[in-house]
Order: sequence, then structure tokens, then C-alpha cells
Amino acid sequence: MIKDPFPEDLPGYVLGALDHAKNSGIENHLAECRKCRWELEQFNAVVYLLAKSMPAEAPDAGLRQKVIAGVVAAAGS
Amino acid sequence: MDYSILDDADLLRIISELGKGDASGMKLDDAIGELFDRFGRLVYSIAARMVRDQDTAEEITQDVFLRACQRADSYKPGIAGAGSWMAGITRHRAIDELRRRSVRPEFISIDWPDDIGVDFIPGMPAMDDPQKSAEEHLESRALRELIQTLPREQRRAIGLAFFGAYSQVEIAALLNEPLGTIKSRIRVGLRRLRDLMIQNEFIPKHPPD
Repeated sequence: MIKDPFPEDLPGYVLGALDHAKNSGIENHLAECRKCRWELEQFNAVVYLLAKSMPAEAPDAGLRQKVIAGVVAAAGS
Repeated sequence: MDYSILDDADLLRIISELGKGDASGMKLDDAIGELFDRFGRLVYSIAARMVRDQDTAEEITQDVFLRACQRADSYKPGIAGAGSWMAGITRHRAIDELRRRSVRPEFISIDWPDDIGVDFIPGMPAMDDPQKSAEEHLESRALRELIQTLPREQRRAIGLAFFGAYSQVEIAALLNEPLGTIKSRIRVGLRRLRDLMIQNEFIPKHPPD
């Protein structure tokens, strides 16, 4: 079996902390390796849960309408 | 139509369809409003923690929702669902923003709130969002307890990458440590967190069949 070259770098990749040259190597590998894709999915979930662990900030009340207006304007143009 | 009854994947699919077709009516408004009600706080909170100013966090939030709606047809439900997808778009956008800046925050960790302080964004409330449900509060607390079990150095390295958008090379320079040490802290720390989250049933151990 060919040794998997990338699992060591997956945590750094998920955090966006690798240099760009490495990213494309990992992305090529992920396209072919189901095991690493599953690991990637798990690490993505870890990063998401890290975000959920923090105290949430309530956005300004007007932001909802700004977001809606922005998307509708872009869709109509 | 009552969009609140849809699951996240169906909501995103409908947004994708509405965005391509007749977008002039009220339907798209309502669907986006529903998406915002589900993920607006999450997106804004991540952006605010990373860029640390309210105006830029709002700008990023608007941009993230625009991108999400434009790419809604590429969404594939994974184990962490649409929240994880939205969080990913937010982090990418905020990383781009931070990397354009010449000065970035240096004192960041991933434990809350003692290490980092919650009052670092002027004008923003220091308390956790009171609108959060009891369940969300419990979930956050349980996650924080897991994170606290990591050694401080690992939390710091992960925090600098996560919230400061620093690369591993930059973290090594900032902390004056060998690159290999930083890579190892991030790798070991994130794997440890994954294993703890599996043990505590936040994420599944095996892929669905």
C-alpha cells in the first residue's frame, strides 16, 4: 500500500494554516482518498464546534435586513 | 410558505432555485430571513471574534450570506451540517480580511473567557448572547470543558490559527518556536479535540454507510 502522504497536515489544512503550495497537494489527494475525506469531515466538525464553544455575540438588529437586501439586490442584477 | 419547517438542506436548495429564477418577490426575502435567523449569530460571532470590530464583522456577515446564497447549490450535508458550511465560508472570508492587515492580534487562545477576555471589542456586549437557548448554553459549556483539558500551548497555537488567521510558519515566528513544534501542537491538539468530541458524541466515529 502506498503510504498516505497527508494525514499529518490535515489539521493545519482545516485551520487554513498551511502554505498555499501544500493546499493544492492535499486537495489532489483528498479527491482520491475516501479515508482522508472522512477525516477532513471530522476535523471540519471540530473547527465548527470550536466556533460554537465561544460566547456568541448578538448582531445589531438592523443587520438581518441589510443581509436580505444585499442578497436580493445581487439576485436581481 | 413557512420556511421555518424546512431542514437546512432544503432551505438552501430553495434559496438556490429562487436566486436563479424570479428573485423580485417576497419569497427570496423570507427564505434569506430564515437562513439568517438560523445562522446570523454564528456567522457574525465568528467574524467579530476574528476581526474584532463591529463594522467589519457586519460587512463580512453580509458578504458571507451573499456567497452562501450564490453557492447554495454546492452545499452537501456533512456530519456537522449547514452550520459547519456557513462557519467555513465565514472563516475563509475573515482570514482573507485579516491577512490583508499589517497588524493582527497576538494574544489569542481558544478557551473562553478567562484567557482571552470577552471585552476586547469596544461597544460589544461582554456577556454571552442572552438569546441563546438553554441547550446551546449547555453545549457551549460542555465544549469549553473539553477544550480546557488541552495543554495551554496547544490551545494557544490552535487559537492563533483559528482566530488570528496565522499560518503555522507565522505562529512559529511569533512564538519564537521551531516550526516542527508548532505543527505538532496543532496536529496533536486538534486530534485530541476530535477524539474527545467523538467520545462525548459531538461527532460520529465512523462515516455513515
